[in-house]
Amino acid sequence: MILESLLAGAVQSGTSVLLTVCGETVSERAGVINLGTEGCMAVGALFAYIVCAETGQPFLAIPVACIAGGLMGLLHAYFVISRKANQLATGLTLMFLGLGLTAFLGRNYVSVSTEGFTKLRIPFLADIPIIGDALFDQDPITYLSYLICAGMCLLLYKTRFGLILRATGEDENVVYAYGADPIRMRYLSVIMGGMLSALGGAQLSIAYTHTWIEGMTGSRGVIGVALVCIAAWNPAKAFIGAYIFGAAQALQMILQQQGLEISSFLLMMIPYVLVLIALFAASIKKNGKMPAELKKVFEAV
Amino acid sequence: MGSDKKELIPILETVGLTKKFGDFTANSDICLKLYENSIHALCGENGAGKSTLMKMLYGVYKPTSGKILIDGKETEITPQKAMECGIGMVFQDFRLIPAFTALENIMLALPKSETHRKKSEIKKKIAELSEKYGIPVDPDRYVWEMDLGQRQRVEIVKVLMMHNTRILIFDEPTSVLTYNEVKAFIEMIQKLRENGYSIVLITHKLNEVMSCADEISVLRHGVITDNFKREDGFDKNTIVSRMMGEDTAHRVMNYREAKKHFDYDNAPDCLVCRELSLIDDHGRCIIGGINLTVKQGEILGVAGISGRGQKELVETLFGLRISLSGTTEYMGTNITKAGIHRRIDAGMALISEDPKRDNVVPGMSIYEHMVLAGAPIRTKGLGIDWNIIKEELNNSKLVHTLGVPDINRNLATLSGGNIQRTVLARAIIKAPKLLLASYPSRGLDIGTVDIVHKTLIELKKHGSAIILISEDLDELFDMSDRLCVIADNKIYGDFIPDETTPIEIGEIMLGGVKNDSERNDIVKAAG
Repeated sequence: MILESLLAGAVQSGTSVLLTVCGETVSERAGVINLGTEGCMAVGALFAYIVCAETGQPFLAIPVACIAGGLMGLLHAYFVISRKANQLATGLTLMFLGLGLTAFLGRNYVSVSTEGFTKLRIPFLADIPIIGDALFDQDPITYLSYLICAGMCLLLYKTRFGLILRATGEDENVVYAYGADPIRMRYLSVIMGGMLSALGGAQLSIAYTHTWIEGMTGSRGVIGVALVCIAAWNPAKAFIGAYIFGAAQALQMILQQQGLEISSFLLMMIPYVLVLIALFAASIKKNGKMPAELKKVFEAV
Repeated sequence: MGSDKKELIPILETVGLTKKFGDFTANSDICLKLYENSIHALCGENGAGKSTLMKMLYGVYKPTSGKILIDGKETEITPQKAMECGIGMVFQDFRLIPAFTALENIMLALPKSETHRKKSEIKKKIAELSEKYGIPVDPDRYVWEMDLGQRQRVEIVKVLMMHNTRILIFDEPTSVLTYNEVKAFIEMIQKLRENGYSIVLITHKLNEVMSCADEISVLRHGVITDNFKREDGFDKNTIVSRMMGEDTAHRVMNYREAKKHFDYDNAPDCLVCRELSLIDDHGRCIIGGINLTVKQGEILGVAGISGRGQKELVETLFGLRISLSGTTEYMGTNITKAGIHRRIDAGMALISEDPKRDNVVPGMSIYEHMVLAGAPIRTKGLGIDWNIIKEELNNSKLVHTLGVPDINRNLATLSGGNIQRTVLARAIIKAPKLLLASYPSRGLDIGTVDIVHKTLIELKKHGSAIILISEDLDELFDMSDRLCVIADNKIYGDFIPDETTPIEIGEIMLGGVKNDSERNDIVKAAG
C-alpha cells in the first residue's frame, strides 16, 4: 500500500520535473544551457492557473502556459544567441525575473481556488498490479508528458531535424557548412525548452496541487537542469532522475503523514540529497556525453 | 589523357582570382584550369596561399576580384552552390562531429533531396563506395574512436555520397596518413580519376604528387608561378626550386659535415638514464628498462611509430611525469626526483608533440610567450620592460631565420606551422643544454624544415645535446649521431646511422626484434 502510494506520488510529483528535463535536454542538445527554467516553470504555473480560475477551462490553460514559457525561452534565446550574452548569467537573471514577476502578477490568485485537471483513470492499464495506479491513474498532463518524452526521443534520434539539432550542439560550423542554420535551430530549441518547462509548471499548479502560491515551483526547475546530466542528455533517460526526485518528494510527505518526529525541514532536504547522490553516481560513470558547444559555455566563464 | 584534352572546356576554371585580407594579398590573379578526369596538384609552401584559394573555390571566402567558371559558365560560389555544382571538399581539419557515428555524420551532410532515404539504404551505398575505392568505413563507429586516417575515409565517403559530386578538392590529405596509408590513398584517387572524377590536390609533399598528378601548379607568395604537365615530364629539382624560390633551393644541407665535428668518445655525458621505466596516463608501464646516454653536442634520434611512448619519454625527462623506477642523471647530478623548475633552470627545454595543446596559451601574443618561457626578462623599475624585449626579439637572428610571424600577433590566430615556428624559436632562444624535440619539423614545409635542421645543428655545435623524436626516417638518418627505436614497450639501440638502413629501423619500428637471440645481438652490438 505504501509502495503503491509512493510510486503514484513519484509520478505525480515527478511529472513537472520530467517535462523540465525534457525541455532543457532539447535546449542543451543545441548548445544552450537555460538556468532560467525555474522562471519558465513559475510563469507556466501562474498563467495556467489564471486561465483556469478565470475560464474554468484547463485545456485552454495548456496552450496559454506554453506560450508564456515560450516567450521566456525567446527572451533567453535573444540574449544568449543574438546578443551573445553569458548564458549562465542570463539564465540566472531569467529565473529571478520569472519568480518575481509571477509573485507580483499572481498576488490576487493566492486564495482563489480552481478545479483544474482531475485524475483520469485509464481502464485496464490502471489495473496492472503495483505500477498500474502509479502510471495510469493520473492527470492528463502526466499522460501528455509520456507522449512528449517519447516524441522527443523520436525527434532527436530519428529525424533529420533532430540530427541537425544535435549537430548544432556539437559543432555549429559543421551545421552551417551543410546549409542548415544553427541560429534558427538554437532559437527553436530554447523556445521549445521554455514551453516544456512551463507545461511542467502548469501540471504543478492546475493538475497536482490545485493551488497557486508564489515560489511554488520550489527549485524544481533548477533541479531539472542538474538532472539533465544524470540523463546523459538523453530524453529517454529523463524519467529516471525526475521520478527519483518525485519519489523523494512523495516519501517526505508519506513520512510526515505517518507522524514521524522528524523536522519537516530535514525531510524536505531528502530530494536534494538524493539528487546529489545521483549526480555523484553519474559522475563515476564519466559519460563524456556533454555536447561540445555546451562545454564552450563553461570554458568561456 | 592525350593532347586532345586541351580543346575541351575545363570543368572548373578561375580567371584572375584575387583575395585580399586588408592590406595583405593572399592570392593574386590566379588562373587555373581543371579538366575532366584529371588530377591537378597545387603545390606550395606553408603560407603560399593554397588554402585561401581552395576556400574561394568552395565559397567559404568571397574573392576580392576575378571569377570562377564552371563548365565554362561564370558562377558565384557559396558552399551551398559549390555542392550543387558538384564540388566536394575534403578539409584538412575534417568537418566531422566526434560524438556522432560515421553514418550520422554522413547523413548530416546529405543534401535535402536525399534525406528521405532509409538508413539501411545509406549503409548499403557506403558499403558499395568503400568496396569500389578501397576505403573501408564502419558506419556505426563513433568518429571519436577513429584515428585520423579513418576519419579521412569517412570524410571522403561523405563527399562521394553526394550523387552529383564531380570535383574533389583535397586539402593536405596525406599529412595525417601513415606511410602505408599514403600508398592506398594515391591508389584511391587514381581510381577516382578512372571513374570520371576530377581532383584537385593541395599539398607540399612532392613525391606523392609526382606519382599521380596530370598537372602540377606551383603557388608561391599567392601567385601561380609555374604549371608543369605530365606529358612534359616532372623534374623534382625544378619544381622544388620553383616552390622554395631559387635562393633557398640552392642552399644544400651538408649533414655529414656537422657529424664529423662530433667526437663521441671524448664528449662528456649530458643525460644518462639507468633502467628507467615510464608510465602512461593509465598507470601502465609503457616503456621499461631504458638505458640511454646522450652526450653533450650529440643528436640522439628516437624512431618509432607515434604514440608508443615518445610523449611519455620526453615528458618524464622534462619532469612533467614521474618515472616508475630507475634513475636519471643530468650533467653529473641525479635529477630523478627534481621538479620541472629545477630542470628548466639547469638548461632543459621541451618541444612537445602537440605544441598547440601543450606549449601555447591562445590569446597571448608571441612576445609574451617568448618571455613566459625562454627569452630573458628585461625589467624597468618594478615591471617588465616590454619595449626592450620586443626590440630584442625583433632584432634576434633566430626569430628571423625561423620565420616567426610578427611578434605582436596573438597565438590564437596563428596557423599550425607558425605555432611550430614560435615554439621552436622559444625553445632555442635560451640556448638549452638539452633540447627534447618532439617532431620539430611536423607541419612545416621543405624550406622551413631545412632551416630547423640548420638551427638544431647550430645548437649541437655549441655543445647542446638534442633528443630528436621523429617518425620521418630520412630526417632521423640525416640528423642523428646515433639512433634508437621505440617499439614493443622497449627502446632498442643504439644504432649508428651509417651502419644500419632505414629498412632495418623500419622493421624494428613495426615489430620490435623478433626473437631473443636476435634481440641480444642487437643489444650487444649497441653495447
